[in-house]
Amino acid sequence: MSVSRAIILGASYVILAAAMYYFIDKEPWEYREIKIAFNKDRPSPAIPLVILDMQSIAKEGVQLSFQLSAALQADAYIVQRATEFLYPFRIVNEKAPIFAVNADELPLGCRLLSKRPTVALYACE
Amino acid sequence: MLANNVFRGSNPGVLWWIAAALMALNLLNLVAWSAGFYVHPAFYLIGIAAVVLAWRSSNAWVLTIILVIFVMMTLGTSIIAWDARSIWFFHGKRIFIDTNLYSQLDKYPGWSHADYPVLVPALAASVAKAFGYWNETLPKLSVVLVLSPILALFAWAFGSAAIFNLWIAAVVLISGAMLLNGYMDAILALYCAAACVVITMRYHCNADEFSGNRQFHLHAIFALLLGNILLLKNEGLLAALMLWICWIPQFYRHRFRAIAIYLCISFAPFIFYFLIWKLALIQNRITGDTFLPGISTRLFARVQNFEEMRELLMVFGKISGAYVIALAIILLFAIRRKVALSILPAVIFIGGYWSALLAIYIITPHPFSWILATSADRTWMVANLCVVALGLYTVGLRHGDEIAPTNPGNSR
Repeated sequence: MSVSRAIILGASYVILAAAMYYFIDKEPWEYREIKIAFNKDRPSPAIPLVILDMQSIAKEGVQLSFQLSAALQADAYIVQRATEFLYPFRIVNEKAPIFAVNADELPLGCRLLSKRPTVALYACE
Repeated sequence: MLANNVFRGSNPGVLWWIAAALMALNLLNLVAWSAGFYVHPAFYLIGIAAVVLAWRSSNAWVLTIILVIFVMMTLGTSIIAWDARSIWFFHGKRIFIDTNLYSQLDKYPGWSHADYPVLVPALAASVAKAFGYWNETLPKLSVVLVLSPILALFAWAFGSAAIFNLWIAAVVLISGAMLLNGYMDAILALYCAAACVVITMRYHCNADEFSGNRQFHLHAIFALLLGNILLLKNEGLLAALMLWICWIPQFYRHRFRAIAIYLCISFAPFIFYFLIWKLALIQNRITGDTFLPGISTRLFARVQNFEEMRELLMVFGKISGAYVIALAIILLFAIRRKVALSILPAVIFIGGYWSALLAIYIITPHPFSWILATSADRTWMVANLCVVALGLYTVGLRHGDEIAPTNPGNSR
């Protein structure tokens, strides 16, 4: 190998190492997270507590479909997370128990089915 | 010399076989899921282990280290990005839970783009199936699985260790967070860049010298690339069609029988795509949202709107301007080296892809500023990475290589 080729090769390794260091340092991963990566119920910062509570309620019943109250539906982030995280439970728009943070936003006559710190499930006729 | 000819006789080498086998597994996994089965990710581990066995190639050990880092970074964070959660991995979760490749075709929910293809979601479902559960991290390993064959292919195609190192550095710097966050754009970019290199490799080779098995190897890898590109995301159809058009002119040097065989090989991915995915979309009357009725109305309205056109060109210039200049320099360099004809098809692809995306943005039914702000950097990255790959590959091209290959590549 000629000297110029050796210099080019060496420089390429230095550039690669620098790029990888920058990439590893900049990306939002954490070494300690690897230890919990294999947990079935691994917690995620992407899931708000209210969604976890919805899942907890959904798992205890026999219903497969739920509605979100108007206030919850107004938040696209909550709708998106509830839809994908709760699956196979489905978020629908009619004829299903309603998740609500505050009972005041529901029509009169709704009956409380289950409750968690951040959300409750109601059956409305 | 920075080598480009990576064939030793008629044997393309271990890395070619690994890349081809893993890309074939990606497609086989779709077929398996369509029948209610799946390809166990252990098969990918065998492929990656084979990379380690190819350790005597300097590119193989760089690739191994890179893959280990990617696996650690993937496990070190959960699925967070918006599209990754609401589209790609949600589709994967549905495939896993419903044991049905076409689960998303019920259009639940309306915003989840049921028309998007499912190559990576199906791989994510396979990973979850292997572990027996779906959680917030492990399915993201599918991104590393789908990256592994393409990186092996680059390790083979570039041959030179220096060029491969620079390519990996460019990939992580240009794609950044997009590489491992569960978006498909960087993955599509790498597959398209590999296709550009394979096209250039093919056009740089003399037809007489480059025949028989070696010819078949290039056609086969190109077909596998197209198959994967088509099923990665919707833009893949556009990219694959343009790559295929750039691949066709080489046939003028062949006899009729060879043309028929190689045309069938290169077109087979489109038939596969139609049968495994597009047919199901047609049967379920699912269409994308880009080509909604009123294209001509939107086209004329946007073209006449000076502010919007200015915004589009400004965004394009900001994201891809430097790469347009780089492409011009690469072309001048190739003319000086007398290899311009070898790289011309890839240059046409890159220019065409830039132009096609500009046209798609002009006719988009979505609010202009919003769609540019949320997607332009990702979508144009495909052509940008192709420029870098083509540039690095062109550095090693020499006029005359195609007649008398002298460097076996895979530098040690």
